[in-house]
Amino acid sequence: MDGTSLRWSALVLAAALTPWWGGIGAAANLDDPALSPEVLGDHLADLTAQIEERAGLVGYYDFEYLTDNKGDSPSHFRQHHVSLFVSRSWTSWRVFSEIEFENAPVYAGDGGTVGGNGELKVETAWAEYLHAEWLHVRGGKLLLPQYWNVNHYPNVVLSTERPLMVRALYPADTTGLMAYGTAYVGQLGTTYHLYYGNGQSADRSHTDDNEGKEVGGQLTFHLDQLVDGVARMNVGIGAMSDPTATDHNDVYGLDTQINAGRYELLAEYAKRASDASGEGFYVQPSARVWREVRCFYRYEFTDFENAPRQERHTLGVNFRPQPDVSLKLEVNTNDFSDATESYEEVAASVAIFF
Amino acid sequence: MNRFVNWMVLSAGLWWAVPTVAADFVVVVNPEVAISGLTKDDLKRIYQGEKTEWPGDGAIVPFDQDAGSPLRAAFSKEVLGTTVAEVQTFWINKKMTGGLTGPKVFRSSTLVKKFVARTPGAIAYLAADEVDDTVKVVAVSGL
Repeated sequence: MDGTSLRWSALVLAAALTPWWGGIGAAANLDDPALSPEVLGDHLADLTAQIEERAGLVGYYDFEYLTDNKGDSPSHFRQHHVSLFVSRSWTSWRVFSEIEFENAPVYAGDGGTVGGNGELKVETAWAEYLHAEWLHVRGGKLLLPQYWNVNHYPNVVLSTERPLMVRALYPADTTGLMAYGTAYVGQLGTTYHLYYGNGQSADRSHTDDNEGKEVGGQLTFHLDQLVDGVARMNVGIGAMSDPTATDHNDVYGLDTQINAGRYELLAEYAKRASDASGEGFYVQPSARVWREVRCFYRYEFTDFENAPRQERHTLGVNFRPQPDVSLKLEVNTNDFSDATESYEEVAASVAIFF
Repeated sequence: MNRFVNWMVLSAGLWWAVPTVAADFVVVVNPEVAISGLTKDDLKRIYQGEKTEWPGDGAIVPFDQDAGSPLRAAFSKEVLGTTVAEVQTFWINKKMTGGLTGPKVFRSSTLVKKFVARTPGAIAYLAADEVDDTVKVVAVSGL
């Protein structure tokens, strides 16, 4: 945009903004130095910065196609998620929430429930006080701090299907309090999360079904500053305990994330004792093969006391034509330790951040 | 057969090729920021939103260059160890998991410099020939 057209645009903008912006429109003059491209550029940058700070509404959308060779499941399209995030930050405080519409819920307004398998829910909602880098305190409905559980959004993860173990061993969320922070001693960084909240009853965002509370934590070591050529190297350990009405549910686990140049490795393991014991694992190496095209492979299994062991191999490709758009294609094979028939599945999806 | 071999060699070359980034940058702060130097690791943590406070001197306010800028590509590769696109994806994830926003991006280096000059706690990077006395250059060890 040249200087003259920028000035004419500014006149129109100034006239439109007159009630809010000091009456520039009324006295606008093309030769006024206050309307020089540089000054106007500054004003626009200021306005943009103010708008960006106030407008904390974003979201994501994903749409999938799934087909497999199981006899009883037809191939299908799925309008999986539309989610809206609302947030606002101040110097020491932050509020954040995610409202999720899953599987295109239909609510008829006749007093019935949401139709089909649709869900309309508050995925997470919390307020946070930021005391220092080493201490943040968050209260509300919180995602537990396991890696994939937090970083699970379809436009960020490479695959359409999430690992089998995610949310099958550690629960997804609790309603309560969490303290977390990061501190560095020399080049060794450590992030901790400690949480205390309602146990895993169906009504856990509202109340608890017993006096025992869910208690857990995660400790992650950041080792990338100790190893040359590595952009990220995290190693984490975590544990939680949730007393139930009749027993207690204890889970512990390990995880790692490594990025070096075009390569990435993600892995998590978790084991659950008590109620229904079991374990699960995935490892997912990937490589950026060309521009923003990434190929990945994932090996994973789950093994529960009350279910057959399942092993899955996934091979896929993820293309981000721009950072907020993710196109995915993958194929996986599934094998079971009992008589359950093995099957293969193909999944394709598009996920967009907006 | 030869074409196949050539194709394989070309593919391998593309796979291993490292994008060349020619731009050089210097790190600048608001003149009131009372530091004279940083480590590369500090700079990385600042631009990943992990280090948010100057030692005893208030909040850090990082600014960034436009996504298409060669300076931005050089900074992302040298300091953050990745591509500009992956840095943008990183901040999308931060926005979705915690409502965090990345460094404010300006479309021109001129604006970056102006905002560093007038914003307490600001930090950014510029081409060496864009620096003047409205901003303070800090040395970065490890770069």
